[in-house]
Amino acid sequence: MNFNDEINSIVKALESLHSSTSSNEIRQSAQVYLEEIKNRDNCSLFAIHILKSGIQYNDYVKHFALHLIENIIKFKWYSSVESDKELLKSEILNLMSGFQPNEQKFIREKMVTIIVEIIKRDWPQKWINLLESLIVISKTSDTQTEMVLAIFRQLPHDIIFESTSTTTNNLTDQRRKDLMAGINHAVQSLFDYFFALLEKHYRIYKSNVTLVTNNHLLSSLLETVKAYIDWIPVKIIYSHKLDFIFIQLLHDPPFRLLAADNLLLWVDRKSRPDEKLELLQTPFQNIEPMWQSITVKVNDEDDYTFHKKIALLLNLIGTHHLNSNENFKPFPANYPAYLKMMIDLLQHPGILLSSHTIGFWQLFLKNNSVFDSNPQMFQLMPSDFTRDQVYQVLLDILLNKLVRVGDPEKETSCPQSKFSAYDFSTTKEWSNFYAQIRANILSLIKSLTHINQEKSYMFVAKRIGEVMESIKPNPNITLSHDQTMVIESHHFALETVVSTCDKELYDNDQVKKLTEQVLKCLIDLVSSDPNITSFQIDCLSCFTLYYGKHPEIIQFILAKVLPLIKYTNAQTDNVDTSMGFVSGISSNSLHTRRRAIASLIKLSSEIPNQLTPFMEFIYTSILQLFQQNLLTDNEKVMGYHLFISFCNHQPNYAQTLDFYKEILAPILKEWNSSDYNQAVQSPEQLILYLGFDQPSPTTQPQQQTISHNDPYVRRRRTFNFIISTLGTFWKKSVIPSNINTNSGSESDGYLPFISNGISYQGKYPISHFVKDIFPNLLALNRTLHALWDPVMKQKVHPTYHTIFHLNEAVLVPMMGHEYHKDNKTESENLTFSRNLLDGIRESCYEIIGNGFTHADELYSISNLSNYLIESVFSHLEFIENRHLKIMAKMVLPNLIKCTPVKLMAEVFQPVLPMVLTLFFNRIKSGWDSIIARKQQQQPQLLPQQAPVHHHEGEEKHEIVDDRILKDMTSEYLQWISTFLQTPQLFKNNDIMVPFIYALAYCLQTGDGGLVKRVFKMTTTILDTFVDASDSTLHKLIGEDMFATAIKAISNNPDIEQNNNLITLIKEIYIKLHGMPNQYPQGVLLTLPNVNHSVVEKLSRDLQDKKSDKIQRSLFKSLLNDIVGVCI
Amino acid sequence: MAETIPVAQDFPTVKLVLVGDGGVGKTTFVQRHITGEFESRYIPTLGVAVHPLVFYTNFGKILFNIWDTAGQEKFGGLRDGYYIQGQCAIIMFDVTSRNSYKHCPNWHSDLTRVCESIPIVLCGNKVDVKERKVKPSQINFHRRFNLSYYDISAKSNYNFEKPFIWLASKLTGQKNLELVQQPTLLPPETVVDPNLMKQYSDQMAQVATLPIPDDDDDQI
Repeated sequence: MNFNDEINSIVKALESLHSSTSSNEIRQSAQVYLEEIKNRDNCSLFAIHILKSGIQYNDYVKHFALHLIENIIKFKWYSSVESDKELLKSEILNLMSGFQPNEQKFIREKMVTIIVEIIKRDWPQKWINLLESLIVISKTSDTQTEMVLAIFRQLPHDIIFESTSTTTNNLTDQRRKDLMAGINHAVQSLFDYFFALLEKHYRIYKSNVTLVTNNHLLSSLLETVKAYIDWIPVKIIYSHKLDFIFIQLLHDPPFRLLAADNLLLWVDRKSRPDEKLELLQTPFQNIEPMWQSITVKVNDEDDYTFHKKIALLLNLIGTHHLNSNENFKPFPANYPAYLKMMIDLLQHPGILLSSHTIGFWQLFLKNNSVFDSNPQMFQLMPSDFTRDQVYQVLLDILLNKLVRVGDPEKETSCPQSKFSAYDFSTTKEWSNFYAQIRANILSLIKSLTHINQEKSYMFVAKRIGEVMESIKPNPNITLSHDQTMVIESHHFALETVVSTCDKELYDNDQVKKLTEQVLKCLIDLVSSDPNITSFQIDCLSCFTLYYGKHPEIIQFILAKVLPLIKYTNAQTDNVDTSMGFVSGISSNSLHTRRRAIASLIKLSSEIPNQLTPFMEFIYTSILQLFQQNLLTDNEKVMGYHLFISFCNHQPNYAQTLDFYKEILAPILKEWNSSDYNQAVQSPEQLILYLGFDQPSPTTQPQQQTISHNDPYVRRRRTFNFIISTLGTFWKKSVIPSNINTNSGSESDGYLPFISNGISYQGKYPISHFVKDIFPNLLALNRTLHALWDPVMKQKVHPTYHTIFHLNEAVLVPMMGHEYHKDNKTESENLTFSRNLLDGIRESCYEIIGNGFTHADELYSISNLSNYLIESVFSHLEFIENRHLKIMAKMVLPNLIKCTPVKLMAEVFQPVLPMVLTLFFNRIKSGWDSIIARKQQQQPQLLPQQAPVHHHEGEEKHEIVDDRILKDMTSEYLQWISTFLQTPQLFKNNDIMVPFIYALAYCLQTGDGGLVKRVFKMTTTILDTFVDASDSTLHKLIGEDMFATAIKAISNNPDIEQNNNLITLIKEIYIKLHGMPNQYPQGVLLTLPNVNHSVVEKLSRDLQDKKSDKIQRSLFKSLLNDIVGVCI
Repeated sequence: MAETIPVAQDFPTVKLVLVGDGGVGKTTFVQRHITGEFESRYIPTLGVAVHPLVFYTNFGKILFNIWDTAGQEKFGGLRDGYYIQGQCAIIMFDVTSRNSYKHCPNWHSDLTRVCESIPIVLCGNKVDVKERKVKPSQINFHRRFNLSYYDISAKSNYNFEKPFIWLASKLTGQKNLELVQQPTLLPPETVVDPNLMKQYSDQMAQVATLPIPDDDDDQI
């Protein structure tokens, strides 16, 4: 077939391929033919011929011609002869010169891609005159100019960012270096070209601002410059005054965003401080023109978008200026003007826009001390703009910003909402963003308070006073949502300011006077609105420093707050106590009640001494509420927390113990009642007692109401309350803060306790209760573990089986979805029952774990290990990984930390090997299945290798199980890191074998975080515990750990992890290779291609080359080059 | 510019380009309708295969010629050459493969380079699989370019017709276009959990109201 016939055949094949009426068979044969053409050596000739013929061929044919060339470049370039390549390059440039404006855009872009692909392979060495040629071509017409600009734009992107959508980019380091060197060499002439274009086309723009093609070309040019602005030599930018030009372009609406983008990249580019100051000079000198550019209006949304860019730009200018100003050079003369702009931007109603200034203000306030020591820096400020005034204005703005308004969905009338609507579509999105910004605002308020406590405090306290005064005339007003947000913001501000101040603040008479006034307002006002009442309580609990100095006021505070514990609102609450507990209280009122108790807990922990005289009164008052059943279960638990807080500040052992006995008596009575004694003894008994053998009265979400008359429901509630209280007692009890260790006075009874011949730092007033709490607790723990036995689970009524599974509120987020109560799929009764079991388990673990810190009583129990094995470590075959995770967090660390050395053998020997082996097995089996699944999911390249499809049942919850496994492994590593502080453990082989096995196994998980932690722990073990005398540990590390690390490398594609693994292998080898057993050498000899001479050479090389880097590279090359592991 | 097809004309024929990474289920998806068989094995497409598919709408019959293109470059073909004269497109990814979603912007940019402003639907296939890796909240890419998005499952026929209805509606300019006859499909191989699907679609609806994040890659 001659050349023309072949071209005709190509055209026909393309017609057949693209025709909508062709059959698939016809298309298939056309494709086979076209593929064959692609593979011909002379296919470029067809391509050139077609492209040169121009309009003779349609887009399908022209595109195919370009596709042929692209294919040659991508797959045959390096095997082509130079003359062919030179010919092709020259033809391509010729073709590009001939492109007409009406040529399809995708054809033009394909040509650009082809040229960039050749550049990446040949330029500059093998295409020296390319730039000159392109610049000449660009002069042909706007079409060519745009194409040339597109080439220059795509090139740095492909070199620096690796890939574009159409290219498979595998540039070698050397090629990348060559290309960068080429660009750097050419960049001056490139920018001369850009500048000339800019001058020419901007002139055209000025003569006709609506000329679309010209504006488009200018935008293309600015886009192209953007690809260079942050990395080319600065002198190029200066030589053309491009920074100044960009600032001017901010006033031209078609180019202002691109000009701002260029300026942002320019100002933010990496430079030394002195270079940065030089770089900032022009932008700083021109902040006024920049500011004026926002007055050019196009439309609201575009203007706002541009305004945000200017805010970002000014913020960057200011922060870089402060960061670079190491030598305290004088500030620019227009700095006050700059500050005014930043203040204006901060108070802009658009929360996103104003947030762009926070970075600057944080830095500005942080540098306050610099201004103090260099007052001349502030001399530039005009007299009407003092630093104090700046701070005052800032505080005012920040307080206003703390008010949570601007919901884009609800408040369309306020200015904040108008701008929120541009930035956020939903309340939730805005709300999440606002929460972050509020934290930043509070941090700025903190900084301002650090600078001047009195002024900040007076400012905020006055605001609180003003709020109270405004409510005073109409105390029963019901606040609107916005008003509630305002008072809430004032409380946040007060809390932040007061927590930053020190107690000397109240020595100032003015401060004292104002505080008294504000407190009077807060105490005197009685409102029926729960939001106002909560605000009063919250504010009152902020002044603890003042109460510390003026305890006489505490009685008034208590008189105000105590009655609010049983707060109810006649309009919204329908209180019912007929069932023996309180119900019918609205959530707003419940919130107020919780605030009241929380404020008392705060006072009792922050000013215990001042509160002591009132303790009896508070205690009696709350006890009455308990007795009258006026508190909910949660409030009662909070009440116990308050009592325990009182106990923590009792002056001596006897009083503490008495108080504990008194407050815990009713709880312990219930806990040790015959009902409970029986219920906790076995799973069957517990099921019967809690009524889980009966059908659940409700299973569906719409059946929300729990019947309080149901005796089982009441039992469950009480059980939950008792165990929560015991947990709170056990957790919140602390050694009294007023312990006098120096005096050694025996009367306080808090000296270290001696029992069993061992001295403990015990908390024995607390652990006095071990004998009251532990027997049933241990039994309950055993029962809970046994309840997970599938046989026992069957004894639970099928309607309750779901309570053994994860709560959907936990499950759904783990699956990556958002959980909403509205989407709940089960009844309140089932959720409560599940939470009860989970809560009981957590309390059991927490109490036992904390029990080890109450060491005196616990460790005096003989056979403690037996008790543990029979309770918290019983029925471990049924325990789920999520429960093991909690155990590793709450029980095990204290067991290691607190067990006295003398008792270690007795306590650890029966327990730890069993527990460590369990963890090892769980970690191994879990991660093995993940690894196996990953291997099955590898891309199947050949058609016959079909992927294995899981059964639905197998797939179920894999995501959740994997996540739990990872968390459990992480918690396990955290726990065993406590072993490093307990050298005795490393002498025990029964413990060390499962310990090292699990540790080594974690290397194979492929999880970066876990591997890193194992690496750190192993190097510590190597440095601290391994010596030649300890043959077992020596073998475990030198053989098992070493072999596992090598295996992990061969399975692992992650370079960073492999670097850690190589370091670990090297460390183990260096540490152990000189020891007699030569375990690491033995492992190496089992590897392919490794013989004695290889190992000996490695050892010699390691001795010769001590540098860490070289030693690592020796191992790398051994594994890579000799063993054949691909690293 | 996409051609607007006249609805009055009987049998308007539309070129639909189907793109996406290799293995996401493009061929399985189209074959599901044509041959009624769910192909559980993965057989890479060589170049392109064109499948005609007819839909009966309240505005008449419409024929989609679906250009099922090879997802992998190594299997040859004309790549973006197949897109020329495309009137609409489906970009498909696999919700159990994050990479296949990450590559969607590349497919989009290749497509729009050749066919500017055509209606495009983004489809996340394999939603019947429990271990979904690309969550509804992470699927934002389509919103940058005003594409439509559907969760689909070739295995269960779930949402099979949705992308076509949306495309037909866009092409005809008839907002209330709907099917008057369901396409003939074989019984599903698996049944999707309706609650889970509702949850997914609720989440998509919710996500649709959020601002578009700067970079999708950060989230997945």
